[in-house]
Amino acid sequence: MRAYRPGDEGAIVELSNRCLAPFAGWVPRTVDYWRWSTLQRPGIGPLDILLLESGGKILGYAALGRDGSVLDFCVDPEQPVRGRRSLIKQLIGALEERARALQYDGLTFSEPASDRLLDEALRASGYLVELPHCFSLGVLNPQALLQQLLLARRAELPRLEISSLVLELSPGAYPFLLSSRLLLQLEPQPQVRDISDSTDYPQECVLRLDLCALTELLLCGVTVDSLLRQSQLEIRPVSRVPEARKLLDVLAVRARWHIPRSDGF
Amino acid sequence: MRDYAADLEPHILKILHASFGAKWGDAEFWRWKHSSRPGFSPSDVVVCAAADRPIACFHLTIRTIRLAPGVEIRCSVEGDFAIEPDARGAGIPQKAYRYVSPRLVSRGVVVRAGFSSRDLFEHVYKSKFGHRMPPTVTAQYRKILSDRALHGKLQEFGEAARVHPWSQRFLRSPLTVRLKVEGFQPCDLVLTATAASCTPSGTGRPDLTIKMPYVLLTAARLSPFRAMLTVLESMICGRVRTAGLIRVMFRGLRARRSGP
Repeated sequence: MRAYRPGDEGAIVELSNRCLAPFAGWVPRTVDYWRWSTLQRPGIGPLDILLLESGGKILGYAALGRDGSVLDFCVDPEQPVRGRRSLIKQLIGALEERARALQYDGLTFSEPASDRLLDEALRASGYLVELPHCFSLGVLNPQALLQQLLLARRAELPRLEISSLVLELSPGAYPFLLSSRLLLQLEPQPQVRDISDSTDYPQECVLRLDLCALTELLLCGVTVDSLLRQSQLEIRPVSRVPEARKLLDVLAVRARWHIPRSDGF
Repeated sequence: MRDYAADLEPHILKILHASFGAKWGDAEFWRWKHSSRPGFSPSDVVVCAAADRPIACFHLTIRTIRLAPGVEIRCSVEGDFAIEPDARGAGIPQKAYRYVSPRLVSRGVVVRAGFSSRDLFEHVYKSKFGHRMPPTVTAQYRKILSDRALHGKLQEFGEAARVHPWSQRFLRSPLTVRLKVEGFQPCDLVLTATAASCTPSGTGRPDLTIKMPYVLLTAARLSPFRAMLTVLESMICGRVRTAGLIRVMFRGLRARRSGP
């Protein structure tokens, strides 16, 4: 266990990105971003950045914020279970020691509960689990979001009878509507076009929903069937529901979200 | 509405402190978070003014977030939204939200996000901004480390116990409980009919002494099964010790018989 030294940035960034890889919603680390978000944060010094090193390799990293909040906590996910459990305990212990030395009243971790080893270690050390602050979002540019998802998932797109799909969007509670109608073309190249001003567009499958429902569908894990049941989504003709469901299931983000404390605002 | 300029900085800080208190942070913290941030644009800070007097401020930062392997989007993370108390209720949040929207589109932003309390989410972010909460695995884990914070928590607990009707009969004379929590200095929780206090332990003889591990203090907030396991484990391992328990139990029985 040692404190940060100049030159550790690359290894810290690489380890952080590996630990966060299974989740959605985090900021991919670069050396510049890490330096600003952690090293240059007021009240943080090199002694507040702890590293677990073995054989010249960084296996764990944690950063302690000035109010006793743990900004980052990563232990190499590829370590064997027993070794990783021991490293987690060491890192928690070192953070507590540092927090006591700084006379902080307590420590707060904002970590994924899905990391069972970390969750067990924190509970066994007497940490109470509380609900974190709410992270919420809204889709500002549905065309760009769908375009990115369509391009990233094109290899997984199922064979469909439809070659295009139209989204008719209303703002719902969202205060700003950029596009009221989008055309998702699947052939020959997947692309999303803004056809808000068109009156003549393909009718083979038309979805009607508001931006909040679209946010739930694409980013919040809410299913097509659930939105249909709650009348938040209408698909015309009804015979196209299975086709639309297949397409949207592929496009939706399924990973669980985790926002590290250092990405907070 | 106008974008950030250096002359607005003292006003922004004043508005932030009026809304969140001095604990929000000082000028150095504001500059680190906003104007000195790599990639900062003056349009990331919007100040609303009435009759040339700044009355509200709104901050954002544009970040690239990862949704899945190969899917990274530009996200405007927004917060530090503060309005002077006498300017509230005029719809400034919605106006500011709409005001920055076209500009964010031109900067390639795809989604807008914010952090808030649950209450603020329900009353503002969800109903006024149409935001939704994605399914998160993030949990907050909290532990007390200092004697001062432990005393505060124990005093809160003592206050809650003291106001119970049965406690009022029980506390006709003061009750001193000496708590020896592993990892902390011993302390005395003194309960009377009118007050509860927790201080570093004195030299007097307490009515009850309890030695326990810290995890036992958290048992009340655990699930019943986990709490029972925690208590049993602590007792079997001999980490819980009491002195004076029988005397206190007799005192409780007498209080119960004596009636109101």
